[in-house]
Amino acid sequence: MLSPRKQILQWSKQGHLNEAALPKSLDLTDADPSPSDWRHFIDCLMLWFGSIFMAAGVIFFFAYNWQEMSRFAKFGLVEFCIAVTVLLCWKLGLDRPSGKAALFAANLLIGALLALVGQTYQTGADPWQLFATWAAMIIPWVVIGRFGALLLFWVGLVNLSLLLYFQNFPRFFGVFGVLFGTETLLWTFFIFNTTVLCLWEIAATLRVEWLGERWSLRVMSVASGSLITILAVWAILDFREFGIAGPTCYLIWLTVAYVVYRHKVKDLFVLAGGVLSVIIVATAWMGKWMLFDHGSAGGFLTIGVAVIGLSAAGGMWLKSIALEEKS
Amino acid sequence: MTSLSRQALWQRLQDAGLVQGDIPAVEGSESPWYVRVMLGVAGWIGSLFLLGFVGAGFAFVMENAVAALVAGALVSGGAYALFNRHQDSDFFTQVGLAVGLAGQMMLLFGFFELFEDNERLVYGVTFVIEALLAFVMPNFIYRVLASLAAALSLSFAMHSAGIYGLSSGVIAVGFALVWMQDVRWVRFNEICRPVGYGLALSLLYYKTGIFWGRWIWWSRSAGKNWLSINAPWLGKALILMILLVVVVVLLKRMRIALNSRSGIAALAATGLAMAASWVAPGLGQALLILIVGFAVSNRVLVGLGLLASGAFLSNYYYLMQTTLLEKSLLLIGLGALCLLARLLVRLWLPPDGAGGPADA
Repeated sequence: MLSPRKQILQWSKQGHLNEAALPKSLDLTDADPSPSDWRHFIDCLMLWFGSIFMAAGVIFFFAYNWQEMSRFAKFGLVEFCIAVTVLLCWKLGLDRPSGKAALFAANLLIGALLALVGQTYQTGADPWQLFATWAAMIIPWVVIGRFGALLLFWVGLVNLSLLLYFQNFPRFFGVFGVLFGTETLLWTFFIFNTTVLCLWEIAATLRVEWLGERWSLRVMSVASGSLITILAVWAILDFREFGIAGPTCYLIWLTVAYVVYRHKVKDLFVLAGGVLSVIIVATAWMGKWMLFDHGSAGGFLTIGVAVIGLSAAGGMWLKSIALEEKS
Repeated sequence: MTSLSRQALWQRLQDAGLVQGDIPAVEGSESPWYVRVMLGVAGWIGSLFLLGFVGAGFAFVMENAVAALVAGALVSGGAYALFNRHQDSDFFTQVGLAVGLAGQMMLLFGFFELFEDNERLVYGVTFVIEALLAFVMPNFIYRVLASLAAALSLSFAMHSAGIYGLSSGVIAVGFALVWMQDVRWVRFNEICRPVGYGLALSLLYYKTGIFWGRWIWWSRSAGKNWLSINAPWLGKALILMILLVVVVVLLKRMRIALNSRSGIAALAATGLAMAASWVAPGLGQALLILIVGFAVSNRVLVGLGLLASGAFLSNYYYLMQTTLLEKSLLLIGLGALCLLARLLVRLWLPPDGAGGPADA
């Protein structure tokens, strides 16, 4: 559905509403944000910018590794900041945006504390251990926070520690290690992110209110969908052998996504991503069979036309679903 | 903001005597932004293969600048005809998009071949061509991509002329103008909206360092004239001035006097944001996109503004001009000021009960 503002502008453009009457129409229908809307928007902006900037500032401060400051002062400072944010969170309560912002800042500061431990005692730990410990330590706060953005942050931390872990791993296997390591890493990412997505969607379906925000679920679906698309393309273009796991999992993912997001949850965003994914995988498949061995003008043209046809058909299908949902 | 249904909206306008008759039927429903992104990416992939077809089947086109220009112009003309004649056909619109993008690339290829020794000229000509295509081609996605390309070409052209940093200010002015004048320029909305998105994406690219923003520094060739020397701070000042102008215009639209409590609070907050943005590059652009996006009730723009804010933080960490200690102190100070300002606003301007959950 168009926003009231956009709808009014469209009626004016179509000639149903006089252009000169537009400001009055917007005024009359409260289509523009009111002072109270602005107040709420700026309030949120200042709260989140304030909390995140302060926590980021503390992280930047410890990244600088100021030599003139004693280690006890550094520990005292970061622990004081954590204590203040936790106290604020406890005082304000987790139902208020300010309580949530304080908890988010506390979670960021835990990272600064762990980095400081590594910096001070030269523990010899790999970077992945820092992020993995960070992710493990904040689990209780993520659970009690009941806050989608914080859960996404935690998922991001786990992904980052997995990435850093696999960056260390291939060293033991030389060039082959790098090749197989990347594929293993992609599978690990896919399994982890898809599991989180499934559990999150199930919780949202069971009406766990704080897990019901569609935007965070869409971020997870983009992660899961992108990874399985890369794995399918990887399997198609793999010069070693045509692996069956990638395409099979891809087809299963696509079918499940269609059933869930077309009939159960009804999320056009994920369906649009699915259409794009099909186009990319089909292009890779056609490219391999038509261009790799004997690249010809005809091959390029066929693939180009196929991509146009697939995307036009996909666009029409998505449009029909959007219309169906409106009516 | 109201959340009135289409019918209720029409009824309210009808009661005020601003519209007559029955509510008009829904005309050619507009696709959501993510469907357009999908079509845009697919169109771009399709255009690469069409370009491959031209390269493999008509190699002389890619080997000769004039041939590439002629072919590009013909193909772009064909895309224009497809867009014009088959506006209601999803298939032909998608064909037009892929063909048009391939034609655009051929044109650029021709210009790069023709003026390969003159970087400034090649980017200047690219800017003119892309701006013209954004204006002429009657397709939303094509216009977004062409205006993004035009804005980036303008930046590259200015950089190669030794004028670094000014283009972000010029783009910010264009962005604010296009979105803030959407009511006055309603009859040009089909051009203004996609151009506005293209400019927003280029702002996101530019100083917030998203995509591949950092290499732009390396292509800088220093100039010796006044404009070259002063361009970095002029660009920054232009962004901040446009931020202030946007806030003043919004206050006027809401009939809030500048010397009222709300007016003073808004101007003080803008002053704070301007001071912070002066020393923290990228923050001004992010705030501009956020404020303009909210003013025109556009969620996509607000989303882009939030993305720009996140990109600002990550880019700021790697900024070489200042030490991490200075950056940390600035961020802590800015964060503290934001929270303090929020508290003061709550004390000075008590909420009227509307908008969002209660907070202490």
